Amino acid sequence: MRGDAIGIWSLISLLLILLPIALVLYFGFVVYRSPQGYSPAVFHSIALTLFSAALSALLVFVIFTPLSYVLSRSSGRMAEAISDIPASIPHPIVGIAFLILGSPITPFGRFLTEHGLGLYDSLFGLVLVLSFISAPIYIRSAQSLFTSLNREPEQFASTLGKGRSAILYGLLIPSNARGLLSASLTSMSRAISEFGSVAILVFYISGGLFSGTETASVLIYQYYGYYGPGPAITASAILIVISVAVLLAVKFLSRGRTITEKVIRA
Amino acid sequence: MTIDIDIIAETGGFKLNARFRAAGIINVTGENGSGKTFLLRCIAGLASCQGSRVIVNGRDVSFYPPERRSIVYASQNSYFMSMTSDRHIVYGIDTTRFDRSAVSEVTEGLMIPLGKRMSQLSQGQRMRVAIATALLSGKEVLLLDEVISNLSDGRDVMSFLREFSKKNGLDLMIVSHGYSVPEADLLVRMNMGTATLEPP
Repeated sequence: MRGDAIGIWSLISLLLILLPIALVLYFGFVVYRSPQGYSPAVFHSIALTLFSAALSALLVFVIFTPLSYVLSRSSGRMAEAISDIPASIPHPIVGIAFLILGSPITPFGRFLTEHGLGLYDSLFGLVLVLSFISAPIYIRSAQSLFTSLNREPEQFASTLGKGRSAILYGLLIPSNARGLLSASLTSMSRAISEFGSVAILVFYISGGLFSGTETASVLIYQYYGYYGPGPAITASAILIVISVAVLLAVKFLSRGRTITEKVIRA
Repeated sequence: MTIDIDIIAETGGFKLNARFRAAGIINVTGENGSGKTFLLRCIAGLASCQGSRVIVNGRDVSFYPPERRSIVYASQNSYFMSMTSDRHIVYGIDTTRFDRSAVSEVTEGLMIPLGKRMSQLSQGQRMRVAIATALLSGKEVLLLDEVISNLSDGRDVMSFLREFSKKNGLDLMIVSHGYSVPEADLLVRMNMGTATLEPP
């Protein structure tokens, strides 16, 4: 970063982002170091959080990549506005909406219930609501990626007789895997941090793989209410370290592939 | 095999007016900004040219999307970096018309390096791969926008294209800037968006 006014101001703005995080890490690992913050319940909770966030990112990729592509190639302002809705309403409302959606008073809820796929307090419900919440971030990132691409190869493929599906799945996704992975990671990060909708819909998982486990955000909220700041801040610090480590590892792996390709090109 | 063009279009204040019927190798030439690329993109269905008519071998494709027109448009960036040259040339191949021997003929005729990633090839080699891909797609018209001019042995490539197009009933429109293609059957000169026909 250069030492001019813009560079210094950028550095200050970065510090503004880092400061609260650094404080949580300092108080969690140095000041409080609460044993409860290191309990198995915390690690189970973090495992559930990462697992459900990764599944939601995968689901978002599968469901919303075509929409991102279509939005990048057309001026669908109404569609763009609709895709932004999850980001613009309070998230507890999303939790309530999913409660209604999964209840037997709706045909969809009845269908799910009949097939043993309830949304309330279930891993399935958790992944769905996280996907809904994080979708706008992925859609915008992927849309920007597709918009920035040179259209000529795509148009060539089109005149070769390829339809939009063939172009998207056969050309654009394989050749932009890293960019889409990055968009998915951003979406996963958003899912990891979600609290409002999860606290309403899936306060803890009832039955199955993570039975009795809360997501990290809910667990930290509970700890804060029941035991005070010590365990909550220590657990928060652990969540931050593990989440950042996972995201950095995936970004590092994708960067490694870039270096390999550069070697091949050279 | 013929292509009938009747295009009146406008984009950003620039007016395009082209009306002709041609077959074989058509050389489109003209100064920068004369409308050569716009003309080809209208024909391919890549530019919005409402009210225009494009008829390929008696079939009116004016209202078809690009993928259904049977017209391939290749420019200087018409290649897929994520592929190998082998995979690229058969992307979109018409297997009902072209078999392994046809692929070999095109590969040898255009001197395409096989087994290479597109990122490893030079710009000229990428253009050859793009031309091979277009030829093997089995479309009826091939539009080459400033593609040949970037090849060091453009004359040899033109000879091969002439031979291949005659054998397979393919019409070619080749945009060239500042020079004429000797193999052309017809010369279309663009001037301020208006096309005039001249003998080659």
